[in-house]
Amino acid sequence: MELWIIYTKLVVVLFLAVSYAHANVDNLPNIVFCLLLYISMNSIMYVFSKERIRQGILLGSVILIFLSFYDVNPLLILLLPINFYELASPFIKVKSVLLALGLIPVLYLPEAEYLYGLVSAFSFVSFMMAMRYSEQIMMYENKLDKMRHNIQRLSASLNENQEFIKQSEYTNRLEERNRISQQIHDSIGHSMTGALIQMEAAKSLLGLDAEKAKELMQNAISISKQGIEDIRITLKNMKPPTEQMGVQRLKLILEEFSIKHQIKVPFVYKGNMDMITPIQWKIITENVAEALTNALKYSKATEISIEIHVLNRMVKAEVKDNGKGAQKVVKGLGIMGMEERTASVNGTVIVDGTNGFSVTTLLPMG
Amino acid sequence: MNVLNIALLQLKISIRDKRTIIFMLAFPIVMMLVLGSALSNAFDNQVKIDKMKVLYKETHNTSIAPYFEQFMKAAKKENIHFYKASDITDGKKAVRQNHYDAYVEVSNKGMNFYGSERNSIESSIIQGMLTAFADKYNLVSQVAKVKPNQTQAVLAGGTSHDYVKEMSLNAKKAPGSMDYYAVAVTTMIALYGAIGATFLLRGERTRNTAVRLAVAPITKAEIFIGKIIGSIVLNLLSLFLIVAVSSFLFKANWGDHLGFVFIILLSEVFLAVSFGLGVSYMVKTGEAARTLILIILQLASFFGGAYFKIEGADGMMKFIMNLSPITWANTAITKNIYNNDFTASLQVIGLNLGIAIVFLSIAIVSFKRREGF
Amino acid sequence: MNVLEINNLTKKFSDFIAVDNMSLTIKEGEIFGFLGSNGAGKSTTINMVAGLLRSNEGEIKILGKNIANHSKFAKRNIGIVPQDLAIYEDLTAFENVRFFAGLYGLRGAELKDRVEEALKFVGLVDKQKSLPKNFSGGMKRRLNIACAIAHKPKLIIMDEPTVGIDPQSRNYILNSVRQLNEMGCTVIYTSHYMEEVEEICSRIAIVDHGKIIAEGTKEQLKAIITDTKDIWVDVKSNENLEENVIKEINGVNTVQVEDNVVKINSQAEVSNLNKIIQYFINRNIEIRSLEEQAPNLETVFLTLTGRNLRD
Repeated sequence: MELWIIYTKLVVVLFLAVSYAHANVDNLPNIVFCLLLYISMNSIMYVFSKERIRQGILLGSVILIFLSFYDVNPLLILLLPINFYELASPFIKVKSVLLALGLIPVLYLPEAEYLYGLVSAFSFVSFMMAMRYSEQIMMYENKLDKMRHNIQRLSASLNENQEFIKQSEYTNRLEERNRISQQIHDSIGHSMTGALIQMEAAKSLLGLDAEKAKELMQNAISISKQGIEDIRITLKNMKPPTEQMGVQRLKLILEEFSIKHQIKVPFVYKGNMDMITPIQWKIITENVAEALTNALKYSKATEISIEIHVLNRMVKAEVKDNGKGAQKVVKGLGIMGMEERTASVNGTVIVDGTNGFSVTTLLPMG
Repeated sequence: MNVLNIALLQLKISIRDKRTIIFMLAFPIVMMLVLGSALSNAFDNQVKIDKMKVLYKETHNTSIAPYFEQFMKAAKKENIHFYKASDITDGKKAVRQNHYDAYVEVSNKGMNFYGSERNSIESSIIQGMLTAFADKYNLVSQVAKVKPNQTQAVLAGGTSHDYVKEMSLNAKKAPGSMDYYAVAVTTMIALYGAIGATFLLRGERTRNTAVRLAVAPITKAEIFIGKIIGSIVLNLLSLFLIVAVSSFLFKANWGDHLGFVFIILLSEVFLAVSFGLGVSYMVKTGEAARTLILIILQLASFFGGAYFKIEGADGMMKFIMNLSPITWANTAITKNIYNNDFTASLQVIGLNLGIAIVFLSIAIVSFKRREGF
Repeated sequence: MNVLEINNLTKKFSDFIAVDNMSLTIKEGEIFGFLGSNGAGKSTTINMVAGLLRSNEGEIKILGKNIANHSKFAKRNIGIVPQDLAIYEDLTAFENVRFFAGLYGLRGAELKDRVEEALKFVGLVDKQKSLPKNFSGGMKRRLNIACAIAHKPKLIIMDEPTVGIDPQSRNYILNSVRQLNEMGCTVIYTSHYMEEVEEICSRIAIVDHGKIIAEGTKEQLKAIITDTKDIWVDVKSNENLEENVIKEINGVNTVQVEDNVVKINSQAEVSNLNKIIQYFINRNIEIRSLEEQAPNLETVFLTLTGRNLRD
């Protein structure tokens, strides 16, 4: 900004110099002195970064111009407008008023009033342009700064999250391992030890009392059988049915959502839910959650119904609201995210806004 | 080759459309015939003057009497008959009632003249002759005062025929009504090519055939150029027929440089077609384009003098008239026919081509940008 | 050989996404059906393949060549039968076909032969000198096809060619599609009449909102929904009925008797209706009515999208 204002000033000074060089003026030395003073004041000004000092110097410059206007040469008033705009712009925000004020001296000038008007208007335009662009640049830089800051923050939190995920995965694994070893120790360990003791006894009795040994062996066998059964039960208990996991989890999410936002969220499911793999459950759950959030944000619906339908070769999960819909669906980040997720298992997302708003996730099976 | 194919197609489908034929041939020929014969009076530059009758009253014993007598005799040869009024006749009333073309009172003080308002040509002829007579009489009377014996010589000096002098105004080389309308209607119809041009590519779209053209392995330029050539050829053909009919049937004068006339018409057709195309791409619907062009064409036709000749216009009117391409073409062709003046033609051709190229560029740019068609 | 290969094709009309990241491959000799409701993106896709519209993203290959770089090659090998009639009413049938075939570089005797061949194919030879103005709707549709095939394209695209015509012409057109296919043409056929698509197409893509939501033979598509069918037999009396015997019939899964209705659930792809009926006849059980509920493409579409094809 400053550069262009300096150029403008330079243009005016050059104009004055040329016009004095052509016209014969008697007190040329005084004029040159005033011009030099003006130039030095207006260059020194930019050395200071404090706004107050700058304004002080500007004020001095304006006073200088007035003095030289009265005492030295009236044409020097041409230097006034730009200094005036510079000085007044922080205080007068309405541009037309600023221009009008800058043009007032035209009424009182003894000569060269048109020239003054021209210079004033010209100075105004260049000043405004310089200001507008510098403001824009400032704005962009601020934005850029903010964005940089955001990126930093986000990547930091991303790192943190990743760390956290790793950490909790590890903890989970440890806990799980602990639980399994405990369980093996509790049930299987006991039966195995029991069976072992019985078999040891049977071994030592084998020659002496065959009948007794046989009995002990039978005991060991039944204890082992029990143990195997225990292992099966343990393993079965350890692995919860995916259906239970998926449906229960989704139900939980939906209930929470319904209570939190005071909106009806009926949930229907049809077909053999066991067919849905955990990864499909993950995608369905995420898509449903996303669609719910969208519906809440945009649809003004009073009811959002969720249907999961397991077909022969496909799973269909539909989130449909009774809101205003949309004649033209504009894909936002949310829908694009759903599409990406779904595409990772070769599925598709259909978004339809003709009758309420519906988001249907179709996932192939088998 | 594809260009040729498309041009031929355009010709075929246009010629087979009855409306086109009616519009491009029957309409102008009928219009020429109607306007040319109905408005022929406005163009009659041969004024026929029948026997002129002048009523005169002479106060007794004027010195002018013998000379006036002589004048009347001479005038009779020019088919001007003088009738002496009786004392009681109201001469002015007789003229008003159209019994006579003029009424003259001759006295020693001079002559009083009352012309007929109705037969202005006749009355002004008579007035002119009387003025000439009065001048001569004044001369004679002045001469008589100085040298009375010379009066006869003065009178003999002017033969009696000199009262009316003939001056030819090149009467043979001015256009008659049929000549005028033949040119004006032809140039107007040339400009009407713009209407057909709005449908040139839009028609393909409404007919859906644009799809086929667009999927065929030909370039857009081929389609565009072919279409324009077809349209121009069609318009020129119809103009050729109109010119032929008007010159052979209506005996309109097309001059000796028919080739040049056709070059002017060609440039005008090119202007019209480009204009139509350009507008069809600037305006959203076909109806709007057609309406806009019709309005412009009507204005151009009116101010170009296609319906009736506008004479002696100046100022604003003249400026507006000069905006009409019909005026340009008419002027150029008229100068061509009657004055053998080709510079005007060249200017008009240049102007037409220039404007045509502007509109054509608009059409080309829009055509290129449009997806599909 | 892939006649058409579409990869990640996207077309936007300002904000509206007409075709959304579509990928598709059509092999030589297929009759490929595009099934979808109006505005699903069928025509937009086809128009991009034909070069009428430019895509925003993705590529289209005709016979292995990208149409962006080989537009003339692609255009020469495609014949398109547009949805709306695209013929000149002021030209005779012969002139129409000749003009369009001429645009493909055919000349002279070859041109004439091809035009006649095309007219013969659609059965308009005896009408070749008449103006289409005097044609019936079906005849116009046939001429519309002739204009697209005279240059012997490898790929013929038919966009709803049977809209609004009488059943006879419709059969004629469906037959000619099959015939063209037998002659070696690959055909893309779009329609929102699922019966037509089901009847002639060897492979079908269900399109909705610019996406292909399912693709395969009609059997594969139906199998998405279910692989069983229900046969309901309404009988006069259920006295002599042995459910176990019916169950033995090939393909039958379950049999239920509710009053006078025998509800049989069977595998969809096994054709056992004759055997079932035979059973009732053998046992002298009078059938009052019989109802078979097998999924069709309409139900597939409805189930997957929640909407009707002709919404």
